[in-house]
Amino acid sequence: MSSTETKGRHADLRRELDSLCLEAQHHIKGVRRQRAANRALQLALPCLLLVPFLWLVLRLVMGAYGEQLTLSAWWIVPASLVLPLLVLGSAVLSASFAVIDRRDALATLDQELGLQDRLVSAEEFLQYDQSSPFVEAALEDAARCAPEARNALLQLKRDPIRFGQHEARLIAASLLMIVLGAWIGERATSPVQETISAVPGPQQLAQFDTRQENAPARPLPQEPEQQREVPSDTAPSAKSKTAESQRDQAAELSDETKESEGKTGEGRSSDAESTSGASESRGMPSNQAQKSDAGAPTKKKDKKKKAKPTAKLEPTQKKDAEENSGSTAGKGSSKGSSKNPAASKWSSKDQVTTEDDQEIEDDEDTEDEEEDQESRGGVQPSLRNRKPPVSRDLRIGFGNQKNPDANGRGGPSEAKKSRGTASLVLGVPIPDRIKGQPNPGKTKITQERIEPKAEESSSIEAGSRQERSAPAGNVHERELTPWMRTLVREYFLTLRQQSRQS
Amino acid sequence: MTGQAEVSSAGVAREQADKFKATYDQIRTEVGRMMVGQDEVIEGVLTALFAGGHVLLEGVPGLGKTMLVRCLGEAVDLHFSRIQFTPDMMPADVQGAQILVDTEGGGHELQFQEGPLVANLVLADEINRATPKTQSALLEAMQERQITVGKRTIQLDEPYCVMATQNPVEQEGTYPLPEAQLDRFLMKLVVGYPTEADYATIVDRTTSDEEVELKVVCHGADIIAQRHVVRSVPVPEQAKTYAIRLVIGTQPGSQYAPELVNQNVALGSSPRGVQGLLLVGKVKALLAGRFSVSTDDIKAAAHVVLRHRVMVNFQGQSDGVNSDQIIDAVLAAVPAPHGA
Repeated sequence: MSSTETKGRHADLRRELDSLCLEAQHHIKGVRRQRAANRALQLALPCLLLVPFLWLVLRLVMGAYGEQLTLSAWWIVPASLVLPLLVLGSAVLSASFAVIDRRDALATLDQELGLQDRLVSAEEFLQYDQSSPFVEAALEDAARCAPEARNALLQLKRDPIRFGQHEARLIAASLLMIVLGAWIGERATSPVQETISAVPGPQQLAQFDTRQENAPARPLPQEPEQQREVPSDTAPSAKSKTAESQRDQAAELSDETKESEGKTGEGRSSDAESTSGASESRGMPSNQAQKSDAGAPTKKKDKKKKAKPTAKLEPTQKKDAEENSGSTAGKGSSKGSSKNPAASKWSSKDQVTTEDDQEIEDDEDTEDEEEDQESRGGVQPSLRNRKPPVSRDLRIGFGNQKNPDANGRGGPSEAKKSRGTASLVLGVPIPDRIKGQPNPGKTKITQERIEPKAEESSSIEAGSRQERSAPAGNVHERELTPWMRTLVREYFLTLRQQSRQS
Repeated sequence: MTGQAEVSSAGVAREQADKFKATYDQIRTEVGRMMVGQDEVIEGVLTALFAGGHVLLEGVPGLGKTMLVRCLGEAVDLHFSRIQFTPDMMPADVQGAQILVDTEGGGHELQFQEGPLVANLVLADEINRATPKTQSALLEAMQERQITVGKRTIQLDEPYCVMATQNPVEQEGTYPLPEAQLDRFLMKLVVGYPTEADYATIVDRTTSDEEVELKVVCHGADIIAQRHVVRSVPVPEQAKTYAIRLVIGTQPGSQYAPELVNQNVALGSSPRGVQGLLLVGKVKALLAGRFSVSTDDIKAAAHVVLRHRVMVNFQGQSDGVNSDQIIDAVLAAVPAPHGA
């Protein structure tokens, strides 16, 4: 059966499929639009939060700087809707203009109506050049189902756009942010307005003066009275606290004044002036600690003090206590002692002041190094971070040469310095209790040398073998059954005949 | 004239389809008289018989696997033979061997004695108890429908169907079937326990004096004719592409393979899987009263056709993933070629 005949016979079915296809495409477009809208809604609603969030942040930042945002909250509502609407619109439009394949449309119709691929199969079978009884039957089946599909297609419903609690929460959150931003804006602007309104004019001042004259005397504030009521036992401590705080404030103030006055020296404190001469502190153990305490800080240290004044207080007190112990008495300069965080003997050995060290101290980077030390708690010796790290190389060396990097901190090298925990462990050699093998036995090696010698033997002459005179022995012959004997006989007879013939 | 030809052409197909369904129902009813509560297994076995494939039945002992095949042989009037596979069985025990026989004149000659494999319906009972050497003796018979012993080649009569049973529990002393053997089975049916209501019927039938005698409702020639009918069902591009995608989806690292396949499958289905899906799909379409295969038919055939072709790797076995779960994942992941 040719394809033209098939196409001619199934013209009705083709028309039916065409109309079904158009309707299905329209339906699918609608469904896809809704799906796209649903998907876009999931993306668009978070976008709804973007503009209010930015506005809120802007409000907060500008409020912190005391500036005022002129943009009204009423503009934020439409502005925040722009991006979600764009997302939603683009998704719906792209779904609307998407091209839907004919077979896709029919297959969707099959799925939705439970036709089990009858329509899409018929669409394909109509294109066949050769038809078969089953193809014809399938086309008939599809032609029967098509009108039913058309009736059912009109009854199809589309899924509504989902709008649940999550979406409602997002909208509520965006509204909340707008309201919050507006409130923050109001709050930030109100004190300024209040202060502006509170500034008295000349007339108000005049009125204020007259009122003040007429007004009765105001009661004194309660605070001084409360201070008086403080118990006597707590009074000294409170006094000391207040005194300390006053001192701190004074120190801060003095620092500020020093910084502000710069090189003129007018702002220097009296302590700093008294210890400015290094020669005074050298060789004066009794005065060293106290004077060095005051004299050590330079301008740079003053800057650091300004950065963290309270944190500096405790180490300086500790320093006082350690240096007052006198362990470093008379051993170094005031700079050396002040640099040394732990006034113990070993640490003071490490911190012997040399000219190099003084140069390093003059360097600004060395100040950072000292700061690192202080941050480690001040119990470690000076760490020269700028120097190369200690080599842990365990190589013996290159050939007969020594390892150039070996510095006695690990591996076979020169005599190790007695530093670290390893130096405290006694190197007691433990002798082996069993020497050699437990029972090796005796070993005897014997060597023999034998030289080969030629031997002569009589040769045996070969001769012809004679017939056997006596029987070789009883040879057991198994008795064959008659049929097997016949079979064997016939087999050998056949073989002989074949050999004769050949 | 054209209209008459059209009517007759479609009518012939309808008539063939109706006859197919009637034959199928007759056999199912007859076997169902003996077998209780295993309708899905009976349908599966009949589907394989009409599709021209072999069946592997897996289930615990005592569920009637052997009886099902024996009943089928009785109802269809096919030459039925049963092989009880044991570890000491040799290929010659299955295929046949030359033996010395007496002749009329008192002589003797070597004659070829056919093995139990030469039949129409072969029940390979506990097939995984035989060694791989003996199991491999079935390969040629199952695929080429012939047996070669020495220089002799025996063509097996159609319809030819091997129905093998294996026990998943008794793994002691068994040899798992090689992949080449498994791939030759069209379907693997899992025989489950009967329901509570079915138990009562089974007990009544097997413990009473009543004996159920099965009638012959069909012959080998009818089965061959129905096989031709099955093969003439057209497969549209939609269903064919879907079947191919499903099979590719079982192969790890492929385009359609889901994550479960990539992680837990060592070996996916071969192209025989597509052939099986389409053949079983054709039978299912005819049984559903349709004249072409749909994607739903392919989906319905996926489990029985693909479950023994998917080899789960060590990770999958340790995670307790079985081939049915993998096929479910493939069905969920692979889309139909057309559709919105």
